Amino acid sequence: MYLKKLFERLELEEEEYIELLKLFVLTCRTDINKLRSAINSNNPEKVAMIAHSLKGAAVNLGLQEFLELAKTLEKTAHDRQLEKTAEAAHMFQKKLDRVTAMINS
Amino acid sequence: MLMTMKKNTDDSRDLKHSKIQSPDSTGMKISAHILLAEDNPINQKLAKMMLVKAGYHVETADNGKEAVDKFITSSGNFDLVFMDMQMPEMGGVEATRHIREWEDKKTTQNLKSQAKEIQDHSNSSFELAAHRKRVPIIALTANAICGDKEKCLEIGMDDYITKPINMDIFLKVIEKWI
Repeated sequence: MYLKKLFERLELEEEEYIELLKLFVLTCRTDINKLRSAINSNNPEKVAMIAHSLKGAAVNLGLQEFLELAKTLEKTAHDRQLEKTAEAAHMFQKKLDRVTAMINS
Repeated sequence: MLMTMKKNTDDSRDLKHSKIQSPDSTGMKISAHILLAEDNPINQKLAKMMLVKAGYHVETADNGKEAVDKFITSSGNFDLVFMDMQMPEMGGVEATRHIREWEDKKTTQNLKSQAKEIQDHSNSSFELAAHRKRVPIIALTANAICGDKEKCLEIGMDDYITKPINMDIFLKVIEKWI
């Protein structure tokens, strides 16, 4: 992740962007848990809605890899392929873990 | 009775755009008061950071209902509203409708009180204005879908910007409407 490029693009200071990243991780963890519950209760509409929200946050922060995964989450939910959605959710979670490690390092 | 209506500084005080004095590095500067309605906490925080950095006073709302409540509580005392289209509880479309209805009602009330003032001071020479305040509402949309602008105008919004948001987009639209 090219942090400098990301915060400069938004004309923010590094600390400000890190603050946003922390909020992103926190919010996304909650959303991914909700998304998993929606998958378990076979509710693709709710899954798509949560995925849409994840997409909105990723795009504004310029987090391209998260954006692509959120798009996959949304598309697979619309296509009612919830097994694929669960796989993408797992990858999303792993990426969140990596960002958390980066923030804490 | 034929009445010529012109703006009166005392009676139409609440109809004026509010400009709040805020300090910046160069001393005092005039800054606009913005209401930002956005449910996504990350996007809300990012937008607020950008607007505050640009020197604006920002009040936030987590959904359309909260935005309407804050707008009314402040007597419409905002210079501009950024309104996300998709929000829980109440979306941007409904919130805009409520705000426009409130503005219309307020304008009617002011007109009535101004007309009464004229009657009460029939010997004086001052004239009053039926000045309708309409706070610009700018939609924040996720997709630049063809026809989006027309849809926003239809429901009483003035303009729209598409995500991802950035400082330039914000500043351009604020400059255009304030």
